[in-house]
Amino acid sequence: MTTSEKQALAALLEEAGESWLIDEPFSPREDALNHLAEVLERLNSTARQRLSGNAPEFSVALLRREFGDDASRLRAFLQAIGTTQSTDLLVMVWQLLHGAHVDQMELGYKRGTSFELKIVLKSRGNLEEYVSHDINDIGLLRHFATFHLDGKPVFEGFFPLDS
Amino acid sequence: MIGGSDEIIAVKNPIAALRACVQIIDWWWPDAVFEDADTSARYGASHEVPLGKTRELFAYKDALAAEAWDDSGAVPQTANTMVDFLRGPRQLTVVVDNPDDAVMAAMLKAFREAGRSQVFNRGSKRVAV
Repeated sequence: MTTSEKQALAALLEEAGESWLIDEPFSPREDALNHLAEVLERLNSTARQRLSGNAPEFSVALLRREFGDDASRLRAFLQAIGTTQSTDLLVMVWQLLHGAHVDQMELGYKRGTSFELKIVLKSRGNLEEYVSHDINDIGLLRHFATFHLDGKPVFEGFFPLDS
Repeated sequence: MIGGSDEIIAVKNPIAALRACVQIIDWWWPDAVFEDADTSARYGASHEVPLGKTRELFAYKDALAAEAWDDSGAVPQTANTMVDFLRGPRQLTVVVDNPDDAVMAAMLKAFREAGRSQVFNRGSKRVAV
């Protein structure tokens, strides 16, 4: 990512109200922007592996377009970047923001021993499985709405948390 | 709409809540067509709608219903085949023809419950019109 792209990314984060991503915990800001650039680079690699021909090209321009279409969608995605270290789960979040639904979810935990969060999405008729063993990824679940459809339980996401 | 009824859902983030509502629409109306009321732009999938730019959104049951609304407007034949969403700064207003119709009642119940989700953080109330 070029210096001007990093500046554009910083400006976008300010506009979206998510500049905390570069204000903290990283210091100086340049390091945080370098880190975000590296996350986007890894995200592109993961997305190509997971989605092949349907993978978006994650760039500042793409994020800017997303902001124009629906700022809350971009905010949700940026908040996910600040929540998980897993680019696999970031692909999942992107898919949720673009028409996929949570089909199944499983949570396994044994104190001091193991953690597993498995989320299966239905996207364009296909099932996509995402698994995390990082207990901090539980924070992603705060971004889901919960309700009933025809009396049946539904998780729907992915939504931004308001400050 | 034909003697429509308004449901006001108070939320901190009405754009995000509107996204939840159109996802709920997808459940009952998998072939739903969405229309930006200001631009008349139509979308065949809920995730294609640029919700951040949309002040008022029509959700039709399907393409046939959208055509019927174009041709005839609010007539008995088009009753309960469209939901109208209006986005305010801190609320969503949902307008339906007959809130007692089985599908409309189920949708409204889901909109209300989704609006109460912690992620949106607020409840809802109904007002008679």
